[in-house]
Amino acid sequence: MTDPLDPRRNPLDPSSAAPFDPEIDPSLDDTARRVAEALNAYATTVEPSADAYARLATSVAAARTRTEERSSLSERLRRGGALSGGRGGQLGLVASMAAVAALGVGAMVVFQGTAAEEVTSSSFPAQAQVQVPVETETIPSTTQAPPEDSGPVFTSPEAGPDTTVEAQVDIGQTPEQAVRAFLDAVEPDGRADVVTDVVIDGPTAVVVALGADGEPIGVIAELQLVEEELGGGSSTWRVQGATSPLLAVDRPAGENTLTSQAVRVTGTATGVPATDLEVVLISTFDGRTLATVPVVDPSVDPEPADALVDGESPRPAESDDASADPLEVLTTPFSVRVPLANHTRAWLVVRSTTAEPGTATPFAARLVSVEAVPEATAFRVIRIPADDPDGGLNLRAEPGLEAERLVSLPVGSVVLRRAGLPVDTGERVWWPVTAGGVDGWVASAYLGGGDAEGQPGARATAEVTLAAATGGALPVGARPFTPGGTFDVVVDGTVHTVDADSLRMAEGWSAPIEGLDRSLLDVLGPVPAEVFEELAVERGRPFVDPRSADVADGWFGGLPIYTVRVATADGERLHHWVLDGRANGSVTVLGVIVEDVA
Amino acid sequence: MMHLAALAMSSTHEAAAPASSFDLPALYDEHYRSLVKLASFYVDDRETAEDVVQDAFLKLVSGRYSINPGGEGPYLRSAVLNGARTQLRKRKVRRAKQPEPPGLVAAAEDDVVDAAERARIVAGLRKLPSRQAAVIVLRYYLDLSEREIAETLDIAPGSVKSHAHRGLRKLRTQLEASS
Repeated sequence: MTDPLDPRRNPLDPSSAAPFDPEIDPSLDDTARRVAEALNAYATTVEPSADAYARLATSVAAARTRTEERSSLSERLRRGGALSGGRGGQLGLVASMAAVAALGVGAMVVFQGTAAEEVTSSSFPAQAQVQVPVETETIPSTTQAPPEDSGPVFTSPEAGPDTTVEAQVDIGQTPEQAVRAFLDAVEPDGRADVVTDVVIDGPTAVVVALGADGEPIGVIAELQLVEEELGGGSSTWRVQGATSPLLAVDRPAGENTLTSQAVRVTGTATGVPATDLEVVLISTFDGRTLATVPVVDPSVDPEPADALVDGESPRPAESDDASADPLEVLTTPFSVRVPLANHTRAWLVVRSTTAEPGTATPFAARLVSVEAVPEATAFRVIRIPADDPDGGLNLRAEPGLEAERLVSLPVGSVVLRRAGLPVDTGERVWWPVTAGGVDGWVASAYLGGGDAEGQPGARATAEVTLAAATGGALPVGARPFTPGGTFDVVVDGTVHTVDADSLRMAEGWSAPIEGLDRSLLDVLGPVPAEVFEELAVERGRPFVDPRSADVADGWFGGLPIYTVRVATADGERLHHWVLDGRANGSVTVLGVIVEDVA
Repeated sequence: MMHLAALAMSSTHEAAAPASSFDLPALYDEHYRSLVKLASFYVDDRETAEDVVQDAFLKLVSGRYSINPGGEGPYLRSAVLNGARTQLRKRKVRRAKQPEPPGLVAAAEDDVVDAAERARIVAGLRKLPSRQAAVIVLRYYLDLSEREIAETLDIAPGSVKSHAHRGLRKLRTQLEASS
């Protein structure tokens, strides 16, 4: 029985006229009451275990130790100039990235600092967690100023194959079980469910990620197995070796989701042209290929995406080590931007497009660094202040209603977020943006998807986010367009019909659209989940949380697609809804791809 | 133009600094028990529920997320809800073909609510869409206000009502069908 003194809990008295839960439909009152009673009664049957606190305290202490170890690693990297300092006032995202070291064959070493406890580090302990603030310039650097020179996040080309992670595994396990325990330890999210093929050859094991179709995608780990006698006839396996870098982007609910994110992967191709290489992101969750980004010739590709972010693109890896090695006939530096979806946990694999996938050393690349770069972020003016005399949104020189007005932006204008943190002046939250080449500040509430608090949940940045998210993520044959057909792209309310055959793979799927330099998709803003319940009728199948990996009709750059069949006068069309379920709890339609069906 | 140098990376130890500032015993006393109960609505057994809660605490003290003072409770709650849901999803796959777990053990002191109905309601709750279930649990078990629920789940206050409404309607249908 619930607390009899609680007036809300005690309307069991049928004579009580007050509704049980005034917010809810009175006809559901009885159900609400029964549910409340059932939950409270059920809760009385559950109590924490006696040693709960002891276990918690132990885990917390262990976690703190690991954090300290990571900090000392960061310090070492920082001293070496590899990590730049800076203080993130705003947690745009957390990108946990592997500390990397190139092996002779080009494999990378990763150590997840937050890995399970049995993982210990021999010499190079680990992944550092890096937070990528949206900007650090304007943050008062009370503790330390950002260093002048911001090098790659992780650089340790001199670390050799000895740079290893070790995992001690339980007694009685087979080598394969040992390898899987190792993977579980390295991927601490407990989601190392990626389908893998473990090829054990004597003391070595190669872990190959398999795609949904069971085809090998790439090698994610090369490991050594050492059997250790424990005495008494029992033995255990020590597993050590190198895995691909593990990238993790996680924006906790409630975080500002305005920035999209990418990593820049730099390295050198040895023995093969760099353009034969591609960078693949393999989901640790289900082995899906989240992105396939071909390495393009830097002299051909001006990398427009970076130009938005940064006038100085990161330099390709220095190739001085090529001259140091007379045996290397062809060493080409490469640098490629790999887009990351809002929530990503993925192995990063560089492979050769010409080599047999799944072979032990399928690539001839030496990675130098994996470096987080923020994506340019674009928004749209979706409404304007009712009382504005110019009928536009003011771009101001400074945050604040009193600041000088620079430009009046009509509805539909695209603004790009500049470096800098938002400023809350009390009556408005101001964002640093660039519009039409003019730098200034706008009130965020008027930008696409924004709400009154200036925390737009919708990433009104579809043109950038989606274009970035499409970074080659769809393997050929899996793209949501029928070859030979057409699809519509909605930009600013205008429908552009595009030949599916004109799609090309560059930094992402894109197609030439007159007047646009990128394929833009319309932003519909956040859509309450209810809408999808209604759409489900149309679709014939329920919409569910798009975060669960197994329910979508397809994938678009790691984002789930739901396809709705719509009858038209001419026949049928497929509406592919590209969704992100993480924005402020509601489902956001990042774009709709409309496909004609013959 | 954003200069690359401006994109300074911040290593965790700065962010992790507040980790030690958490008063673990106090947090434990205040939240642990209720969180285990909260998680238990989602997962079948206490051990899993506790694991979920322990993970949430670890996440909190990891220093990876910036938490406003006083925000620990809401943070823990949402971490538990998310964690429990992940567990539930994993379970769903594992026991797709298995029968429903046996009914819950009736507490001896509880003689008002029929244990069978209680089990039905909790089982029904687990079948609801996650947000609807979460809203119902937060509202009718934790007695959170609409606004608090909206903050915990990071949804609009208006959606709280509609989720609660839909969820209750579904539960009612289930209860009617089973009685």
